[in-house]
Parts: sequence; C-alpha cells; structure tokens
Amino acid sequence: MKKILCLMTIVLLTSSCGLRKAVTSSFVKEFCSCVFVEQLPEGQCKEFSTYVVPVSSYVLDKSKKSVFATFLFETSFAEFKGERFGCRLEQ
Amino acid sequence: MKTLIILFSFLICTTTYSLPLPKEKWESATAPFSKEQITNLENVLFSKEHKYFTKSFLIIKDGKLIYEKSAEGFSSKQPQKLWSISKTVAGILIGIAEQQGLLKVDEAIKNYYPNANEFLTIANLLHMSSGLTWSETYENNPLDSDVLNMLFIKGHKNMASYVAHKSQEYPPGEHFKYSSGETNLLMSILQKKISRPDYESFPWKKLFTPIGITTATWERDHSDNFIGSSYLYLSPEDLARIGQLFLNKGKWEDKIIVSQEWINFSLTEAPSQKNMEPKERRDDSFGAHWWLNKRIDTVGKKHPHAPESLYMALGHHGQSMMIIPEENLIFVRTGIDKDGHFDRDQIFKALYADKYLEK
Repeated sequence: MKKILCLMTIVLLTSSCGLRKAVTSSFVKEFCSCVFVEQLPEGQCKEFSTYVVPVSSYVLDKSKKSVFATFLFETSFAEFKGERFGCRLEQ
Repeated sequence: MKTLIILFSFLICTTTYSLPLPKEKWESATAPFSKEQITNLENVLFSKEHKYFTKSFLIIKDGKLIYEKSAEGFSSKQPQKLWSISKTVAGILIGIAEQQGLLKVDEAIKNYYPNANEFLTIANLLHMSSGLTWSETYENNPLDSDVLNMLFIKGHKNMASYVAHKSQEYPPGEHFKYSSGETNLLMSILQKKISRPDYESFPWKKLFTPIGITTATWERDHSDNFIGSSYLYLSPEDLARIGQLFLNKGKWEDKIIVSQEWINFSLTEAPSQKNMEPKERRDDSFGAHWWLNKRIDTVGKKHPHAPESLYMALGHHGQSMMIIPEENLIFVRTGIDKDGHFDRDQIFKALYADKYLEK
C-alpha cells in the first residue's frame, strides 16, 4: 500500500501541473458553491467537492466567503461573488 | 337555442387546453399511483443499498405536485447544483433571443470568432455538432479532459475563447459529439449581441422571473459569460417550472416565453445524429440541447419503459428533469452518482411497468 502511495505521489509530482491545478481548482470552486450557494454543511461539501484525489489542505473563510486549497505545491482560490453570481475560480 | 349551441361550439373551438400553472408555490394533489408503485419508486431512488444517492425527487402531474421526497439535509425548495441541465436552460435562452430577433440559428460563428470555420453555425452548436476537437471526460480521465481544462485550468477565465480556439476535427454539422464547450460558446455569442446590463439580467428578465423562479444562481467566468455548460443552480421545484413551461407549449399565463417553433426545433433529433453510421452513434438521441428517447433502429429506445416522446435535461452525477407529454408529467431528480450506477429507466419501470415497453 505504501509503495503504491509513493508511486502515485511521484507520478502526480512529475505529471503536468495541469492535473495538480485541476485538483485544487475544482475543489475550491465546487466547495465554495456547495457552502455558499447550496448552503450545505462543510463536512458534506468537502466530500462532494473531492474528485480525483483529495487536496492536502484547505481554508474556508466564512467572513470573506472564500476558499483556498493546496495540493503538491499548487494553490487555488475561489470566492463567492453574490447571490445571482455564485462562486468564481479566481486563481 | 341555435344561437346558444353556436356560441357554445365557438367557445369550445377557441379555448385551448392549458395546464394549471403554479403561483408562488406548486399546488399539491394526490398521486395517481398505487402504494406498490410508490414503494418500487422509492426503492429505486432512496434505498441505502444503492451505490448512488438521491438528494431530491419530485413529480408534477397536470400542473400539480403529486410526489416529493428529499434525503435528510436536502430540500426541493433549496438551490441545488444542476450540472449540464444548465445546458438545456442555456439553449432555451438562445431560443428566446432568436424569438426576439437578436440572433438567427443559421448565423455563422465566424461573425463573432473570425478564426472559426466559415460553415459553423449557431444551430451546429445547439446540436453539439460543431466538429471541433473535444474531449468530454471528467474524473475518470482527468489528464485528457477539455472540460477540466476549460472549467479549471487553461480556460477558466474565458471559457468561450478556449473553445473557439479548438481545431476542426470534422466538418460542421456532420458529426455529433457532446461538448460542454459548445454551450459556453453559444452563451458568449448572446453576450456579444446585447449590452452588458442586458446580458447580465437576460436569464432573469426573459425566463426566470416571468415563470416565478426565485432560487436561481448562475455562475460566470472572468469575462462575465454565464457558464452555460455547468453552473446554474435552481431548486428542484423551480426547475420543474421550466418543464411546465415546455408542457404548456412555451406559454406562461398569457405570455409566450418561448415559441412553439423553438420547442419543436429543440425536440427534433439533431441531423448529424441521424446521419451517423450505426456503429459510430450513441445509444441515445439529442435534439437542440435536450436529450430525447427516439427509437434507434439498431438499439430501440434508450429508456424502454418510457414513451418515445420523453424528453430530458440531464446533468453529471445523475441530475435529471424528464418530461412525458402524454402523461402531462415532469420528474425532477437530483443526486450524487459519481460512477454512473443510476439507471433512469428504473423510474419509468416502477411507475409504468410494461405500458411503454415495445414487444
């Protein structure tokens, strides 16, 4: 199991940064919309917003209505823009 | 007496049948299904043994809410993620824009994106037949996914531009290939046609508000283009209003929201699909941003327990709105089904058994 995890990490690290970006970007966008548009609980949103692999860490700022996430040196950020606008992936 | 009969006949002839419309809330009525049918339906949708999860499910019949159930923590009155059901709503907006003379379906995309193939039209995009290179894969093949690239990586700031720069793989209009990119390109064409404030309010002013939708959120990219492919949020009860609008032939009270011609166009199979070789084509059929249940010679109907007239707005992870005109009936189902285990036909089987099954 450990070997598989190590191998997976190496593969992910050396693969295009596109995949790592997809992991963090899709997470922050979907997580932000889940919490601020659908208004579901954080725990549930974390589960719903994880697709390929989980992010290493994330920060949900409820006062600024934003989400940061990191995964293998890649960072993404999404922000809630308003009731009609929902969330937008910023970086 | 003769005058009365003539007057009576005149009234019958001129009164068109229309279904009751919901006001602020859907009026409720008793479901015309047996206890056994409902038990079968709930087993299909809500049994904990399944590898999928249903958030909310409702049925509207003859303009009334006859069944509604949501899993704990969800509600049919709360906005939920619709994924590609957004595409169908985006298609309706294009129809409204056409009706208002803002655009024409046979217009060339080249007028807006000079690098586009000269024969590529708005109709081709509505039929998912642009012929542009595209890979519509998600988490099962993330390394080769134009959708992920467009939504999250290279194209997220201007999704339509990402799509417009794809190379031409087939001549426009000849090959069906489902593509989230085509809807975002369509929305950007509408955006280029009208002023920024008009575009910003267009879905609300022309569609949502007139039919009583109050829960809409539609996310945009950095160019302020609505992400028509994926990111409309509506409550299931509000989504059903769009189904009711179609059952009502595009009219809401006295107002034509979307024309009967557009509805007919939307529910006619894309020419590109008809022309494809049997081995090349999918086992389902597509109109103009609506999924259909047309019988295909080689495989029959995609949903054998539903009538051929069934039409659907479908989204990733099992989101669906399914409309059966001859039953005056709308189903809305939202759910989580990452691995595609949910079989929509089981809903029709539970309620209609063999009624629509072809021998």
